[in-house]
Amino acid sequence: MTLVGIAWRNIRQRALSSGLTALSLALGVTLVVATLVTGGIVQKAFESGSGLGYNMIVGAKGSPLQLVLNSVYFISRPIENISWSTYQSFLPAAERADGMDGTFAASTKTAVPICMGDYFRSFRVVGTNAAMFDRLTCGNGKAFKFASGVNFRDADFFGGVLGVTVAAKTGLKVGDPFAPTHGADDGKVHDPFRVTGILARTDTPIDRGVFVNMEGFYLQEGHAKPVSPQLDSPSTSDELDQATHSQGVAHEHQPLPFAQREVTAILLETASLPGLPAELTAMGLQTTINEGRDAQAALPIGEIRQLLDLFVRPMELLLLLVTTLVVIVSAMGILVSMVGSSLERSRDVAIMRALGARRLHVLTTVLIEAVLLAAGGGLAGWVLGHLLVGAVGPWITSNAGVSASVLSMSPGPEALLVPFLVLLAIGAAILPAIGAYRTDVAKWLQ
Amino acid sequence: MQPVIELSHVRKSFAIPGGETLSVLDIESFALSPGEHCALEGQSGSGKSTLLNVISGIMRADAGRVVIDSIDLSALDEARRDRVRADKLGLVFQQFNLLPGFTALENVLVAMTFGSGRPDRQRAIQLLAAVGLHDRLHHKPTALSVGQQQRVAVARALANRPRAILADEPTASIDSSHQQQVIDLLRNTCSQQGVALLVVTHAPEVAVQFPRRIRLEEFNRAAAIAGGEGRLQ
Repeated sequence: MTLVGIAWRNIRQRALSSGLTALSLALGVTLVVATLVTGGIVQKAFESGSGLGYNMIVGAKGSPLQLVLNSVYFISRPIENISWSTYQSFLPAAERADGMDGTFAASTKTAVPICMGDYFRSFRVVGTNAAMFDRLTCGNGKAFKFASGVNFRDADFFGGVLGVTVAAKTGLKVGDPFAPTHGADDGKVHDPFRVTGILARTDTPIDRGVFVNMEGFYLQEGHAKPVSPQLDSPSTSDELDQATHSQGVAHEHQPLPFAQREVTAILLETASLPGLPAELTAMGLQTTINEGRDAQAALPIGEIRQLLDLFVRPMELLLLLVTTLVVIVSAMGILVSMVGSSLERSRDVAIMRALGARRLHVLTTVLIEAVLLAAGGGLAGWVLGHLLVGAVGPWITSNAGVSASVLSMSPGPEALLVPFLVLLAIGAAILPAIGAYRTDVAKWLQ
Repeated sequence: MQPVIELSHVRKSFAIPGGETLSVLDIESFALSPGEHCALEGQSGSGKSTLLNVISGIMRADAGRVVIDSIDLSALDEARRDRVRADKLGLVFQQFNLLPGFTALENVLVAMTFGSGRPDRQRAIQLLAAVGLHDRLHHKPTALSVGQQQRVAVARALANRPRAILADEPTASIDSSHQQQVIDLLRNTCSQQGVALLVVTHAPEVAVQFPRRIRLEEFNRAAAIAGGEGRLQ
């Protein structure tokens, strides 16, 4: 029999108090693990959205954070719309009807317009073009993949693509029709779109989005910008541009005239200018746009970093502090439990000493007991914490767009939790261990 | 033949309130040969338990030599005395002092843990079988009768192949019908294992059964002078 075996039997001998001590430790650790993992998930949720293949968002003047939250995470409301000509200013000659580069075309690699305001059930509907999934990536340079079906074509005005969460929640399949509502989800029902594809899971807010062809989006009631009668004339230069733009597209619907179009935001992937990396191009472009009167440019990574630094991390730190205190109090339970059983322990220690145990043996045995309780309670709490996260995982996944499961891990401190608890327990057990070390054998054997 | 236990000029006293000291042991000489069985008879307070504590190294003598199997305990620190006790001596107590959270088998294995050898489960089972407890290996003390508990205590005392067993009033806590069984068990087991046996007792009917019977007052001058209550100095 080893000292570990002796310590384990001592724990079993005091099963009730040992069990309660381990339970209190386990609950403390459950709380800490759940907090850490959830914090990690929140952080991942924000960070996943800040790396979606574009590095800048252009939208109406106002709060840059609101622009990012609305365009990237589909939370908060759109600020306002910006003009179609602003969007056109990012397009190269090949994508413009007038055959001339837009003002910012040289600094732009990809510009994808998005139009927001509609819902399908509780999910945001985003009007965009095929470039959204053909040219942007879903993070780390990975191209979007389709779990079923394909991306909608620009010529297919009423085609749409669903994020994986939307498809799972609504039960929609490729080929199924779906009709968004105007404004809030109880608003006027629009003409239906048809699902052309369902995206594979991206673990980004994209999973919670409904993406429809913006040409079809513009044709819905209430989506055209009111214009003066003379601008409505087909002889305007915009209309001529559009006629050229739509060449070769035979369609039963006429596209909305450019003059009546607006976009909510533009997702930009900036280009590298000669001698300038894309990051510096972005900063220069941002400054230029923000100095103008029409729009603002926001860098999602910077905004999210600010949000995390200002709110999320301090909150996480506070929660961590509180839960750490809970663990420390739980560890004190070991001290209370061991001091409480010191009378009973003294006789056992005296017997073991009479059998030849050295003082160091009994001291070590008491410390091992504390380590076993802390490690057992800590590991049980760790498992419980992950089970808890696993239990609420589906809810987190559907609401935050980030996968959360039993196996979700938090970076850093979680791995140190049980070792930290074991050290705390050893610290708490030192007093009772010294008490055992000093046991007067002759007195307790009488 | 070299004695297993040898005492010479051993003195032990304790401080008592008032600044005085109480002399409990003052022994000129004592020796126990290998395989010898001896009863030390003495009244309550005659220093019997203190003597066993000094012989086993739990207490250190104030003066004199205590030699166990040629090892002078007086020259050893506490940790080494503990090791000698684990390896050379087996202790049987009046209250049996089994560990309540451990089974009969585990009580024997615990004793092996502190000896020089490795815990030998097979030997522990054999020892328990030898005292008639082959079917009680996994019973905890509370599930054993008084007699069975004393058997476990004897098996445990033999765990590390000791040279001698020290038994402190082994019959004091059991009824008269079982007393003889315990004495027979101790003597027979020690004879079979070739182990010396030193039993301290206040019961003349126990002491009389041993080939060597010593009245503590006859060789502990502290007890003799103080009439069994120690000697104030």
